[in-house]
Amino acid sequence: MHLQATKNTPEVVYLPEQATLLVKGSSMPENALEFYGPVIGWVRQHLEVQGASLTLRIEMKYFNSSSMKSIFMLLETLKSATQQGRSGRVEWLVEDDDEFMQESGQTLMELLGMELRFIHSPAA
Amino acid sequence: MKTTRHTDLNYQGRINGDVLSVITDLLHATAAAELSGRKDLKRLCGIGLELLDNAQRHGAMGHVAFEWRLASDLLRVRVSNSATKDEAERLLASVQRIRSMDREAINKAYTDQLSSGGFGANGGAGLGLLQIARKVGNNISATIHPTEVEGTYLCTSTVNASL
Repeated sequence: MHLQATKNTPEVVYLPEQATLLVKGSSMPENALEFYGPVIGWVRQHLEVQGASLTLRIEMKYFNSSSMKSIFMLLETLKSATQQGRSGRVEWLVEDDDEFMQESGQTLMELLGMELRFIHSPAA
Repeated sequence: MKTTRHTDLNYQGRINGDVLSVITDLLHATAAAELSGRKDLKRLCGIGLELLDNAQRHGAMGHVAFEWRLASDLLRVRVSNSATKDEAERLLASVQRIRSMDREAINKAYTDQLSSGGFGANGGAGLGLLQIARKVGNNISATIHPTEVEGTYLCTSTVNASL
């Protein structure tokens, strides 16, 4: 499943056979829950299967505060599944000197009590 | 030699997703040009974008006046929009609450809202002003004044950030 990026929403690529979900770009929808609700649904459904695993790759430039809340819910869904025996991993991409993405990832990691794998790349 | 920084960006008109996207790009480009080397550029731009986001979500007429003024070591961001009385009073109460908090209380309110708060009827997560306050402390103010249109108020939010 694939959602094309728009001016205000990120690209989302869900590849169930590879157990990956990528969120990439900027996210500033007026109604973040409306956009992320179905994505959270995909993740929940994917992880319902016994023994399922999923890698969430967050490769974002900027997101507004309501998107931050939605990303929290996305990660919370993954964490909840891992507590029920599923396997999950979060890759959180940060460009060098991007304090926003670094701090946002750390806030989520601390609040959710889950590991985020920070992947640093040179600033564009 | 000290570099003099001065940028004024003003926009008055309709606010929607397309406009927000263009202003986002403009702010990021301006901030990168004037404040290169800083790691908090997205946080600074985020002040303007969160205020605009609020105006878009809670405004009554779909119009805003937006001002981004960078002068020397001070950034001032101001957004005005009309809103219903309830929305105007809600904004005022939110800002007054934040102004009464210290940094620790602001951070706690933000993390509590992020982890336990829900979405409002307009799709907001109640995090925008708190996110701004995490950056600038309580250097945020708001005023409301009745307009000529009955039941409608002009809301103005102002944020000052020392650079």
